[in-house]
Amino acid sequence: MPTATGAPDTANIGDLVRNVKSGDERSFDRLVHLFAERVYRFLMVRGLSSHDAEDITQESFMKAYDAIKDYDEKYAFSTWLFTIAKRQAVSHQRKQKHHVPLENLPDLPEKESQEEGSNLEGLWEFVRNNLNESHFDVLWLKYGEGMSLGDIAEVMNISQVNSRVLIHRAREKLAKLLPKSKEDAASTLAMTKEC
Amino acid sequence: MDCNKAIDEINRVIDEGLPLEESLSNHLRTCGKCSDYYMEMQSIDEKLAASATSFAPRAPEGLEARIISAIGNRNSRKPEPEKITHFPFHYGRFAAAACFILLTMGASFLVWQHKTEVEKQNSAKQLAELKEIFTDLANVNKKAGEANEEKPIDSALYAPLENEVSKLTEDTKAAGRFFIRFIPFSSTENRKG
Repeated sequence: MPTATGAPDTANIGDLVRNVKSGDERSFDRLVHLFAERVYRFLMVRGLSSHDAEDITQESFMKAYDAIKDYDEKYAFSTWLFTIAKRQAVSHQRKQKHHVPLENLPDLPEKESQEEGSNLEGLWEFVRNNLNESHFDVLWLKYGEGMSLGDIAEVMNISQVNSRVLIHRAREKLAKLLPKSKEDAASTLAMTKEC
Repeated sequence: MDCNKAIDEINRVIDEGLPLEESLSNHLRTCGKCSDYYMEMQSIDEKLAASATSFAPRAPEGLEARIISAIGNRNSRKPEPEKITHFPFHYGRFAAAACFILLTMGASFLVWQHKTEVEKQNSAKQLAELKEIFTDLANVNKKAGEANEEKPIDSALYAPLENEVSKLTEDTKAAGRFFIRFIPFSSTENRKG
Protein backbone atom coordinates (compact mmCIF):
# COMPACT_ATOMS: atom_id res chain seq x y z
CA MET A 1 0.00 0.00 0.00
CA PRO A 2 1.39 3.43 -0.85
CA THR A 3 1.94 5.65 2.15
CA ALA A 4 1.26 9.33 2.52
CA THR A 5 4.80 9.97 3.55
CA GLY A 6 6.69 7.62 1.28
CA ALA A 7 8.03 4.87 3.49
CA PRO A 8 11.78 4.45 3.13
CA ASP A 9 13.35 1.39 1.60
CA THR A 10 13.52 -1.01 4.51
CA ALA A 11 16.21 -3.24 3.04
CA ASN A 12 19.07 -1.76 5.03
CA ILE A 13 17.28 -0.55 8.11
CA GLY A 14 18.14 -3.72 10.02
CA ASP A 15 21.83 -3.24 9.16
CA LEU A 16 21.71 0.41 10.20
CA VAL A 17 20.15 -0.50 13.54
CA ARG A 18 22.80 -3.19 14.13
CA ASN A 19 25.54 -0.67 13.28
CA VAL A 20 24.13 1.81 15.78
CA LYS A 21 23.97 -0.89 18.41
CA SER A 22 27.64 -1.59 17.85
CA GLY A 23 28.51 2.10 18.31
CA ASP A 24 28.31 3.61 14.82
CA GLU A 25 26.64 7.00 15.35
CA ARG A 26 26.61 7.81 11.64
CA SER A 27 24.18 4.99 11.03
CA PHE A 28 21.78 6.63 13.43
CA ASP A 29 22.08 9.85 11.39
CA ARG A 30 20.93 7.81 8.43
CA LEU A 31 17.95 6.52 10.40
CA VAL A 32 17.08 10.11 11.29
CA HIS A 33 17.26 10.97 7.61
CA LEU A 34 14.90 8.09 6.75
CA PHE A 35 12.29 8.59 9.46
CA ALA A 36 12.30 12.20 10.72
CA GLU A 37 9.84 13.38 8.10
CA ARG A 38 7.39 10.55 8.82
CA VAL A 39 7.50 11.06 12.58
CA TYR A 40 7.04 14.83 12.17
CA ARG A 41 4.05 14.33 9.89
CA PHE A 42 2.48 11.80 12.23
CA LEU A 43 2.71 14.35 15.03
CA MET A 44 1.41 17.18 12.87
CA VAL A 45 -1.63 15.27 11.67
CA ARG A 46 -2.49 14.51 15.29
CA GLY A 47 -3.01 18.23 15.68
CA LEU A 48 0.23 19.40 17.27
CA SER A 49 1.65 22.78 16.35
CA SER A 50 4.62 22.83 14.03
CA HIS A 51 6.89 23.93 16.88
CA ASP A 52 5.71 21.15 19.22
CA ALA A 53 5.88 18.57 16.45
CA GLU A 54 9.52 19.52 15.80
CA ASP A 55 10.41 19.33 19.49
CA ILE A 56 8.69 15.99 20.00
CA THR A 57 10.25 14.55 16.86
CA GLN A 58 13.65 15.51 18.25
CA GLU A 59 12.86 14.10 21.69
CA SER A 60 11.58 10.88 20.14
CA PHE A 61 14.82 10.34 18.23
CA MET A 62 16.87 11.10 21.32
CA LYS A 63 14.89 8.55 23.29
CA ALA A 64 15.23 6.05 20.46
CA TYR A 65 19.00 6.64 20.39
CA ASP A 66 19.27 6.09 24.14
CA ALA A 67 17.14 2.97 24.10
CA ILE A 68 18.25 1.40 20.84
CA LYS A 69 20.10 -1.38 22.66
CA ASP A 70 16.71 -2.52 24.01
CA TYR A 71 15.03 -2.42 20.59
CA ASP A 72 13.72 -5.85 19.64
CA GLU A 73 14.36 -6.44 15.93
CA LYS A 74 11.36 -8.70 15.56
CA TYR A 75 9.33 -5.49 15.20
CA ALA A 76 9.81 -2.97 12.41
CA PHE A 77 12.03 -0.06 13.44
CA SER A 78 9.36 2.37 12.24
CA THR A 79 6.80 0.70 14.51
CA TRP A 80 9.09 1.05 17.50
CA LEU A 81 9.87 4.68 16.63
CA PHE A 82 6.20 5.57 16.16
CA THR A 83 5.42 3.95 19.50
CA ILE A 84 7.95 6.26 21.15
CA ALA A 85 6.66 9.30 19.25
CA LYS A 86 3.04 8.53 20.12
CA ARG A 87 3.87 8.20 23.82
CA GLN A 88 5.80 11.45 23.73
CA ALA A 89 2.91 13.18 21.98
CA VAL A 90 0.33 11.84 24.43
CA SER A 91 2.48 12.89 27.36
CA HIS A 92 2.98 16.34 25.84
CA GLN A 93 -0.73 16.76 25.15
CA ARG A 94 -1.59 15.77 28.72
CA LYS A 95 0.79 18.41 30.05
CA GLN A 96 -0.66 20.98 27.66
CA LYS A 97 -4.19 20.23 28.87
CA HIS A 98 -3.13 21.07 32.39
CA HIS A 99 -1.32 24.26 31.48
CA VAL A 100 -3.36 26.01 28.78
CA PRO A 101 -4.68 29.28 30.20
CA LEU A 102 -8.35 29.93 29.50
CA GLU A 103 -7.71 32.86 27.18
CA ASN A 104 -5.53 30.61 24.98
CA LEU A 105 -8.15 27.92 24.46
CA PRO A 106 -9.01 27.50 20.79
CA ASP A 107 -12.54 28.24 19.62
CA LEU A 108 -14.79 25.22 19.54
CA PRO A 109 -15.28 23.77 16.04
CA GLU A 110 -18.58 24.72 14.57
CA LYS A 111 -21.02 22.59 12.65
CA GLU A 112 -19.62 23.56 9.28
CA SER A 113 -16.97 20.88 9.92
CA GLN A 114 -19.29 18.47 8.10
CA GLU A 115 -18.51 20.36 4.94
CA GLU A 116 -14.85 19.57 5.36
CA GLY A 117 -15.60 15.88 4.91
CA SER A 118 -17.50 16.35 1.70
CA ASN A 119 -14.39 17.06 -0.32
CA LEU A 120 -11.26 14.93 -0.41
CA GLU A 121 -8.93 17.69 0.76
CA GLY A 122 -10.80 18.27 3.96
CA LEU A 123 -11.43 14.61 4.72
CA TRP A 124 -8.60 14.08 7.22
CA GLU A 125 -9.30 17.38 8.87
CA PHE A 126 -12.86 16.14 9.25
CA VAL A 127 -11.63 12.82 10.66
CA ARG A 128 -9.44 14.58 13.18
CA ASN A 129 -12.19 16.94 14.27
CA ASN A 130 -14.95 14.36 14.53
CA LEU A 131 -13.43 11.05 15.60
CA ASN A 132 -11.73 10.36 18.87
CA GLU A 133 -7.96 10.15 19.16
CA SER A 134 -7.71 6.35 18.97
CA HIS A 135 -9.90 6.17 15.89
CA PHE A 136 -7.90 8.90 14.22
CA ASP A 137 -4.58 7.26 15.11
CA VAL A 138 -5.49 3.83 13.76
CA LEU A 139 -6.84 5.30 10.55
CA TRP A 140 -3.75 7.43 10.07
CA LEU A 141 -1.35 4.58 10.80
CA LYS A 142 -3.21 2.44 8.28
CA TYR A 143 -3.81 4.95 5.49
CA GLY A 144 -1.17 7.57 6.16
CA GLU A 145 1.66 5.25 7.16
CA GLY A 146 0.54 2.05 5.43
CA MET A 147 1.16 -0.02 8.55
CA SER A 148 -0.07 -3.57 8.95
CA LEU A 149 -2.63 -4.47 11.63
CA GLY A 150 0.18 -6.04 13.67
CA ASP A 151 2.27 -2.87 13.56
CA ILE A 152 -0.73 -0.69 14.36
CA ALA A 153 -1.47 -2.91 17.36
CA GLU A 154 2.12 -2.51 18.52
CA VAL A 155 2.11 1.29 18.23
CA MET A 156 -1.28 1.55 19.92
CA ASN A 157 -0.32 -0.98 22.58
CA ILE A 158 -3.40 -3.09 21.91
CA SER A 159 -4.01 -6.57 20.50
CA GLN A 160 -4.19 -7.18 16.77
CA VAL A 161 -7.86 -8.10 17.05
CA ASN A 162 -8.54 -4.84 18.85
CA SER A 163 -6.73 -2.86 16.21
CA ARG A 164 -8.86 -4.52 13.54
CA VAL A 165 -12.06 -3.74 15.45
CA LEU A 166 -10.93 -0.17 16.09
CA ILE A 167 -10.36 0.41 12.37
CA HIS A 168 -13.74 -1.02 11.45
CA ARG A 169 -15.52 1.10 14.02
CA ALA A 170 -13.63 4.21 12.96
CA ARG A 171 -14.62 3.67 9.35
CA GLU A 172 -18.23 2.99 10.29
CA LYS A 173 -18.39 6.07 12.46
CA LEU A 174 -16.91 8.12 9.68
CA ALA A 175 -19.48 6.71 7.26
CA LYS A 176 -22.26 7.83 9.57
CA LEU A 177 -20.83 11.30 10.02
CA LEU A 178 -19.87 12.04 6.44
CA PRO A 179 -22.49 13.90 4.43
CA LYS A 180 -23.86 11.77 1.60
CA SER A 181 -24.63 12.97 -1.89
CA LYS A 182 -28.32 12.95 -2.82
CA GLU A 183 -27.89 10.06 -5.29
CA ASP A 184 -26.00 8.01 -2.74
CA ALA A 185 -28.66 8.58 -0.14
CA ALA A 186 -31.43 7.62 -2.54
CA SER A 187 -29.72 4.43 -3.67
CA THR A 188 -28.95 3.49 -0.09
CA LEU A 189 -32.59 3.92 0.84
CA ALA A 190 -33.77 1.81 -2.10
CA MET A 191 -31.30 -1.00 -1.37
CA THR A 192 -32.11 -1.03 2.32
CA LYS A 193 -35.78 -1.57 1.49
CA GLU A 194 -34.87 -4.51 -0.70
CA CYS A 195 -32.80 -6.22 1.98
CA MET B 1 -24.11 -16.21 5.04
CA ASP B 2 -25.82 -13.86 7.49
CA CYS B 3 -25.34 -10.08 7.53
CA ASN B 4 -23.08 -10.01 10.61
CA LYS B 5 -20.71 -12.51 9.07
CA ALA B 6 -20.86 -10.60 5.80
CA ILE B 7 -19.90 -7.32 7.52
CA ASP B 8 -16.89 -8.98 9.15
CA GLU B 9 -15.85 -10.41 5.82
CA ILE B 10 -16.27 -7.07 4.07
CA ASN B 11 -13.95 -5.36 6.54
CA ARG B 12 -11.42 -8.17 6.22
CA VAL B 13 -11.54 -7.90 2.42
CA ILE B 14 -10.98 -4.14 2.60
CA ASP B 15 -8.22 -4.28 5.23
CA GLU B 16 -6.28 -7.08 3.62
CA GLY B 17 -7.02 -6.24 0.00
CA LEU B 18 -8.47 -9.71 -0.62
CA PRO B 19 -10.75 -10.66 -3.53
CA LEU B 20 -14.42 -11.26 -2.75
CA GLU B 21 -15.22 -14.86 -2.00
CA GLU B 22 -18.12 -16.48 -3.79
CA SER B 23 -20.26 -16.79 -0.68
CA LEU B 24 -19.84 -13.10 0.09
CA SER B 25 -20.49 -12.10 -3.52
CA ASN B 26 -23.69 -14.12 -3.48
CA HIS B 27 -24.79 -12.44 -0.25
CA LEU B 28 -24.03 -8.97 -1.59
CA ARG B 29 -26.13 -9.70 -4.69
CA THR B 30 -29.12 -10.53 -2.58
CA CYS B 31 -28.68 -8.13 0.39
CA GLY B 32 -28.93 -4.44 -0.44
CA LYS B 33 -27.95 -3.38 3.08
CA CYS B 34 -24.70 -5.29 3.02
CA SER B 35 -24.05 -4.29 -0.55
CA ASP B 36 -24.48 -0.67 0.43
CA TYR B 37 -22.24 -1.17 3.45
CA TYR B 38 -19.59 -2.70 1.22
CA MET B 39 -19.71 0.16 -1.25
CA GLU B 40 -19.65 2.72 1.51
CA MET B 41 -16.68 1.16 3.28
CA GLN B 42 -14.83 0.72 0.01
CA SER B 43 -15.46 4.34 -0.87
CA ILE B 44 -14.21 5.55 2.52
CA ASP B 45 -11.18 3.28 2.24
CA GLU B 46 -10.28 4.76 -1.13
CA LYS B 47 -10.89 8.34 -0.03
CA LEU B 48 -8.81 7.97 3.13
CA ALA B 49 -5.92 6.45 1.20
CA ALA B 50 -6.10 9.04 -1.57
CA SER B 51 -6.32 12.10 0.65
CA ALA B 52 -3.66 11.13 3.17
CA THR B 53 -0.84 12.42 0.95
CA SER B 54 -2.28 15.89 0.63
CA PHE B 55 -3.12 16.09 4.33
CA ALA B 56 0.36 15.28 5.57
CA PRO B 57 2.37 18.51 5.89
CA ARG B 58 6.01 18.53 4.95
CA ALA B 59 8.65 18.77 7.65
CA PRO B 60 10.45 22.12 7.88
CA GLU B 61 13.84 22.53 6.29
CA GLY B 62 16.70 21.44 8.48
CA LEU B 63 14.71 19.25 10.85
CA GLU B 64 16.97 16.24 10.32
CA ALA B 65 20.10 18.37 10.75
CA ARG B 66 18.68 19.82 13.95
CA ILE B 67 17.98 16.37 15.38
CA ILE B 68 21.40 15.01 14.40
CA SER B 69 23.09 18.08 15.82
CA ALA B 70 21.12 17.87 19.09
CA ILE B 71 22.08 14.23 19.56
CA GLY B 72 25.71 14.99 18.66
CA ASN B 73 25.88 17.93 21.08
CA ARG B 74 24.39 15.93 23.88
CA ASN B 75 26.74 13.01 23.27
CA SER B 76 29.80 15.29 23.22
CA ARG B 77 28.72 16.86 26.52
CA LYS B 78 28.02 13.46 27.99
CA PRO B 79 30.93 12.66 30.31
CA GLU B 80 32.50 9.21 30.05
CA PRO B 81 31.61 9.39 33.66
CA GLU B 82 30.39 6.19 35.08
CA LYS B 83 34.09 5.53 35.60
CA ILE B 84 35.53 9.03 35.98
CA THR B 85 32.86 11.06 37.73
CA HIS B 86 31.13 8.45 39.75
CA PHE B 87 33.96 6.12 40.72
CA PRO B 88 35.62 8.38 43.30
CA PHE B 89 32.27 9.55 44.62
CA HIS B 90 30.93 6.08 45.21
CA TYR B 91 34.10 4.33 46.22
CA GLY B 92 35.94 7.21 47.92
CA ARG B 93 33.93 6.85 51.10
CA PHE B 94 34.61 3.13 51.20
CA ALA B 95 38.29 3.76 50.56
CA ALA B 96 38.41 6.36 53.36
CA ALA B 97 36.63 4.00 55.75
CA ALA B 98 39.00 1.19 54.83
CA CYS B 99 42.04 3.46 55.40
CA PHE B 100 40.68 4.56 58.76
CA ILE B 101 40.13 0.96 59.83
CA LEU B 102 43.61 -0.05 58.69
CA LEU B 103 45.23 2.88 60.51
CA THR B 104 43.29 2.13 63.68
CA MET B 105 44.24 -1.53 63.50
CA GLY B 106 47.89 -0.65 62.84
CA ALA B 107 48.01 1.81 65.72
CA SER B 108 46.32 -0.71 68.03
CA PHE B 109 48.84 -3.35 67.01
CA LEU B 110 51.79 -1.03 67.68
CA VAL B 111 50.42 -0.04 71.09
CA TRP B 112 49.78 -3.69 71.94
CA GLN B 113 53.25 -4.69 70.77
CA HIS B 114 54.87 -1.89 72.78
CA LYS B 115 52.87 -2.86 75.86
CA THR B 116 53.88 -6.50 75.48
CA GLU B 117 57.52 -5.50 75.12
CA VAL B 118 57.36 -3.40 78.29
CA GLU B 119 55.61 -6.21 80.13
CA LYS B 120 58.26 -8.64 78.97
CA GLN B 121 61.02 -6.34 80.17
CA ASN B 122 59.26 -5.84 83.52
CA SER B 123 58.73 -9.54 83.93
CA ALA B 124 62.39 -10.26 83.18
CA LYS B 125 63.44 -7.56 85.63
CA GLN B 126 61.12 -8.89 88.30
CA LEU B 127 62.24 -12.40 87.65
CA ALA B 128 65.85 -11.32 88.08
CA GLU B 129 64.93 -9.60 91.34
CA LEU B 130 63.05 -12.67 92.49
CA LYS B 131 66.02 -14.83 91.67
CA GLU B 132 68.15 -12.56 93.81
CA ILE B 133 65.61 -12.68 96.65
CA PHE B 134 65.45 -16.42 96.63
CA THR B 135 69.17 -16.72 96.34
CA ASP B 136 69.39 -14.50 99.44
CA LEU B 137 66.74 -16.65 101.04
CA ALA B 138 68.73 -19.75 100.30
CA ASN B 139 71.82 -18.14 101.79
CA VAL B 140 69.87 -17.11 104.89
CA ASN B 141 68.59 -20.62 105.27
CA LYS B 142 72.06 -21.97 104.88
CA LYS B 143 73.48 -19.62 107.49
CA ALA B 144 70.64 -20.33 109.87
CA GLY B 145 71.15 -24.03 109.48
CA GLU B 146 74.83 -23.77 110.07
CA ALA B 147 74.39 -21.57 113.12
CA ASN B 148 71.80 -23.55 114.93
CA GLU B 149 70.34 -26.69 113.56
CA GLU B 150 67.97 -27.24 116.47
CA LYS B 151 66.55 -23.74 116.67
CA PRO B 152 63.79 -22.64 114.29
CA ILE B 153 64.84 -20.14 111.70
CA ASP B 154 64.45 -16.61 112.91
CA SER B 155 61.41 -15.13 111.17
CA ALA B 156 62.99 -11.67 111.37
CA LEU B 157 65.40 -12.80 108.72
CA TYR B 158 62.51 -13.34 106.34
CA ALA B 159 60.65 -10.15 107.05
CA PRO B 160 62.37 -7.94 104.47
CA LEU B 161 62.06 -10.69 101.88
CA GLU B 162 58.33 -11.16 102.51
CA ASN B 163 57.93 -7.44 102.15
CA GLU B 164 59.64 -7.60 98.76
CA VAL B 165 57.54 -10.58 97.62
CA SER B 166 54.27 -8.85 98.53
CA LYS B 167 55.07 -6.13 95.99
CA LEU B 168 55.29 -8.63 93.16
CA THR B 169 52.42 -9.31 90.81
CA GLU B 170 50.59 -12.62 90.89
CA ASP B 171 52.22 -13.68 87.62
CA THR B 172 55.68 -12.99 88.97
CA LYS B 173 54.88 -14.87 92.17
CA ALA B 174 53.75 -17.83 90.10
CA ALA B 175 56.99 -17.61 88.15
CA GLY B 176 58.83 -17.44 91.45
CA ARG B 177 57.08 -20.56 92.73
CA PHE B 178 58.16 -22.34 89.59
CA PHE B 179 61.67 -20.97 89.93
CA ILE B 180 62.01 -21.86 93.61
CA ARG B 181 61.69 -25.58 92.95
CA PHE B 182 64.97 -25.52 91.14
CA ILE B 183 66.93 -23.54 93.74
CA PRO B 184 69.08 -25.90 95.68
CA PHE B 185 68.27 -25.34 99.37
CA SER B 186 71.61 -26.33 100.67
CA SER B 187 70.56 -25.34 104.21
CA THR B 188 67.83 -27.99 104.21
CA GLU B 189 70.21 -30.54 102.87
CA ASN B 190 72.70 -29.46 105.55
CA ARG B 191 70.07 -29.77 108.24
CA LYS B 192 69.17 -33.22 107.04
CA GLY B 193 72.77 -34.09 106.69
